[in-house]
Amino acid sequence: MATTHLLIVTPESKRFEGDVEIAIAPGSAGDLAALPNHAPMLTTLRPGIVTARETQASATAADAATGSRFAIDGGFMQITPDSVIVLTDRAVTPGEVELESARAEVQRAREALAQKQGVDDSKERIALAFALAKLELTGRGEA
Amino acid sequence: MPTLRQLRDRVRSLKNTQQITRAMKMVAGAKIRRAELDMRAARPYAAAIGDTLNKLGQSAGAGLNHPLMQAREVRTRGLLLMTADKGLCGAFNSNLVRAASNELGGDAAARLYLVGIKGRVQLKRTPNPVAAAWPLGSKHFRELAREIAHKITEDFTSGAVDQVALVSSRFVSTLVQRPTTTRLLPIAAAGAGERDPGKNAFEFEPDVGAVLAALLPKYLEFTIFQALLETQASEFAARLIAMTNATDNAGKLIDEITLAMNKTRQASITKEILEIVGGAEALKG
Repeated sequence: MATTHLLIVTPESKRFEGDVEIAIAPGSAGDLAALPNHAPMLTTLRPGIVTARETQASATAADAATGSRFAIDGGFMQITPDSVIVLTDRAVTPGEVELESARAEVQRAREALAQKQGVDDSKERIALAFALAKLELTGRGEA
Repeated sequence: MPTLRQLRDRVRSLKNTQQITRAMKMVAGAKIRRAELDMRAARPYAAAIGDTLNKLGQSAGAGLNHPLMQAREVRTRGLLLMTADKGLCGAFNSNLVRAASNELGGDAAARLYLVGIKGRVQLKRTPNPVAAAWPLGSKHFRELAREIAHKITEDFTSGAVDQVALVSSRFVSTLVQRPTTTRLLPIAAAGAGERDPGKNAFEFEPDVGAVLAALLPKYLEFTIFQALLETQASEFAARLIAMTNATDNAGKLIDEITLAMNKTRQASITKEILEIVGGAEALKG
């Protein structure tokens, strides 16, 4: 099966690099999936979850079942026919999410958002969406 | 001719100094490894964001427009200077300050943005207004970069400055750190204007303007972040070299003075023997 080269980078490190069959990312105008031979495209990303399904060759046994998943806090995606680059400030794997602190983060972001009525609350919205994405990654809810 | 006691005191004090310089050398050596790793870890992002900006420029052609790209007549210049917080790293800080003065060329109206305590201290007497100053090592670089970018963006969009240059240290190798001057604002997307036809044209979502508006602030912030990383690594490298030299020099001095000390001691022993022998001879006589 055809593959495309996926790269996920943050200013602090390279979080993922490998050949994937499909990469799904939260585009600003809706989730979008990048398959090999996608038309060139540049898009902004919402906070959310990036999912990649790796090829058998490059995937480890654990990844193969679930694919690689990262919670990101927004950013950009550059798609060319043979590569996908995700630029983001933060990318977190399921193993890195601490359930308790993620829940606390959601709580804090909700409170901050509630206080900011009518003012520019884009920062708080991003924080909330990122925290929720981290929770979703763990597969366990807010409770 | 110094006395034996004077020489002995000097050796002792030199050994103390050498202990300190050796400790500083080892600390710098340990820190530089960490700083180099951080620097290397930022490279993939640098390549990716630069590439994205170029592709954006090529696809959108001359139609790009954003407050951060606005080139206008330069009335007030801005200069962001990065130095270290501490000295004892050779000519590192002075070189950076000199590069900044060269860049300004006596322009006393240019606004300064200073990162690092040493730069602020050395520039205390310049007539230039200091718009903002931060220590280099107070907080996480990501946060610091965001703050600096925010301040500079504010001043640039409000018209307080019409152009911003960056003077920071480039880490070439542990042996070579070079002060470099680059332009921060307005941002020029390489390839803008020479539109790439047809096949390679990118689609934008939601649209070119929105992508650009999100990308440019990140680009500025990251450029500053990267310069902070390089300046930090350069500082440690400069200190490593300065302290290695200092330790070696102290060692050389210790050797020299120890030699002189031994000679003096021998001379005094010889003199004492001569006196005893002379005395014995006199008694015999």
